[in-house]
Amino acid sequence: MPLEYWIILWKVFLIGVVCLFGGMAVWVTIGGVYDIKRLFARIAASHEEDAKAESGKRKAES
Amino acid sequence: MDSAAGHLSEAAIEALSKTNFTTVDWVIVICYPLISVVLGIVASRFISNMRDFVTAGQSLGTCLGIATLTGTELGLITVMYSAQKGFTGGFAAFSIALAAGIATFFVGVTGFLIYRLRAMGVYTIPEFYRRRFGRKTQILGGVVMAFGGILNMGLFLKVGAMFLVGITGLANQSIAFPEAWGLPAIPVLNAIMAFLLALVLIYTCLGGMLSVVLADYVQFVVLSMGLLLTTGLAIFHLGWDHIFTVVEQTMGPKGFDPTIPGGGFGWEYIIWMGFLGLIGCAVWPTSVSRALAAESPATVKKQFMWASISYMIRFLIPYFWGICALVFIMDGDMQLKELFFPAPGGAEAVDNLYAMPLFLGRILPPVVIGIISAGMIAAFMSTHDSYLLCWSTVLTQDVVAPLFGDDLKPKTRIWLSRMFIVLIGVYVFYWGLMYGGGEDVWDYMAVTGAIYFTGALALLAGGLYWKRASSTGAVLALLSGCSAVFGLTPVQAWVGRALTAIGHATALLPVDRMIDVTTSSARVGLFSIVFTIFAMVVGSLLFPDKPKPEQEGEAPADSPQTT
Repeated sequence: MPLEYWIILWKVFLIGVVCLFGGMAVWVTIGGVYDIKRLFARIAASHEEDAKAESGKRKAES
Repeated sequence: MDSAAGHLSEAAIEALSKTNFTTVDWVIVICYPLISVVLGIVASRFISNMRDFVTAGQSLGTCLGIATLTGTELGLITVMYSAQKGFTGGFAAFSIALAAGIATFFVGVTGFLIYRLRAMGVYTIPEFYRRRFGRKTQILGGVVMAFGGILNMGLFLKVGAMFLVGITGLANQSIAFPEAWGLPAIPVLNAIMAFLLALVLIYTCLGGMLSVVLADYVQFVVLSMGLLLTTGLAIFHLGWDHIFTVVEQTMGPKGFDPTIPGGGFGWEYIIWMGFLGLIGCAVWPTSVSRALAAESPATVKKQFMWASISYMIRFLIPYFWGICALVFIMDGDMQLKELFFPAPGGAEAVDNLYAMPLFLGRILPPVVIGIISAGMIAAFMSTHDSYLLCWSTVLTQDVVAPLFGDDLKPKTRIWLSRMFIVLIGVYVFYWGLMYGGGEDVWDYMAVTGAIYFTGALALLAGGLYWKRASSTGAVLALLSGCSAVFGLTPVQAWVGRALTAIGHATALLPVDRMIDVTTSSARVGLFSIVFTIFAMVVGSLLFPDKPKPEQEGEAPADSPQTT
């Protein structure tokens, strides 16, 4: 491939990927906040389920 | 750090000390990491079992998954060595970023390895070994993985110090103690590294994967902003077209075309890099641990598809910074040019790893340079925390626990993991300060990584996609993966000397002849992959597994299925 094409290829590649990354960074920054909230909610719910299962087990044993 | 700054000449120290780094930037750099410690303390309140500690309750959404993947894989060491590649290879190095992006996108679209692993609900890769191949394979796999992985991160601290030397200009500063104490002066960088490492250890021990994920999120935000801002400032400072012109004048076609033989790349190298891209996302444990922490197998695919952009960026932007550093030095005064490109027979060239931080230290204004440095330190910390957690978990879950018959309680496992985190941290600090090996650090890293990943690829691919894969084949493949160590230059030299000695002793080789076994690490790596796959296939066909009792394949006591 001629040198000029390589130069064009890498220019387009650099600009394209940097723009994509910029867009993704905004999306991930905003979406990440919602994910963190859901993460804590799911962990808390899972702990509650574990506690219920544990107490049920103890009752059954007694 | 002695090893990072101790070998610099007076001229190099003077050149490195010309930086825009100010006291305000120091305040930013020192205060920023404390955020991660606060997050660790918050996260520790939510940790009650091993599932929370290792996989954050397997509740990561897509955005958080992308953030933490990027935070982990865009480490300071990656930035430094990629910048070096851009400095020496020019735009032709972009082919590596392209190969990594394509490989990660392929994994995201097809779910190759990661989808089935997540669907199985395992914590770690060796746990998969156990379910598929039995306990012995799990323990051997865990040992090989932890050995290769811990060795692999041994030089992170040293390279991190080199970045700080370059950007802050602290090449020859040290902290002196009162004479009465009788203690030698400590280089400031040693103190900084000890401080950063201590912070990482604290928040990783406290909150496990949960605090790692939260810290990675914050670090993603700072890092992405820093990467884009610095790239924009570099282009503004040097001029877009001027960058390409200088590379063309300095390197010619080799600076753009990666396929030119003898240009430092070539097709063999590109294929090897494409393979490393695949390994980096689908087999490398710190990356796979993010897949295993995702909320569902479908999320994993989405996460990796989007993360392909990050996997390209993590190489692409540092390459570009390295290229910009080259242009800056070529445009700069003769003294600077002489430092990096001395005349033949002149003084020894300064390690070109310093080029990128020196360039950033000169062009970035105060405050911005502090934010960028904080971002890079964030990259340094987010890589350390994930690696510490990963290897400590492997040692606990896949080596110690199976040895005790899986009778360890969840709290004991968490305590053990924390103990391993601290021990590995001590090793990293010791190795970073004391290691004085002469080989290229990148070769060191590639080889130590390959000890693990060549065998792991054969086990994962065989175990997930080939029913006849047997435990004997798995053990042979794991052991064959250790052949990658021959990619290390000192090992090749040792083998050459040993073969020469044997040849001379048996009179098969003339006394004046030497055997030279020097070969590229890319060739050894590719050979090692073929060798492990061959061992897996032949071992499985010759020694198929007998039907196993039920309990052999069961999950450990504190697995996601039982908590």
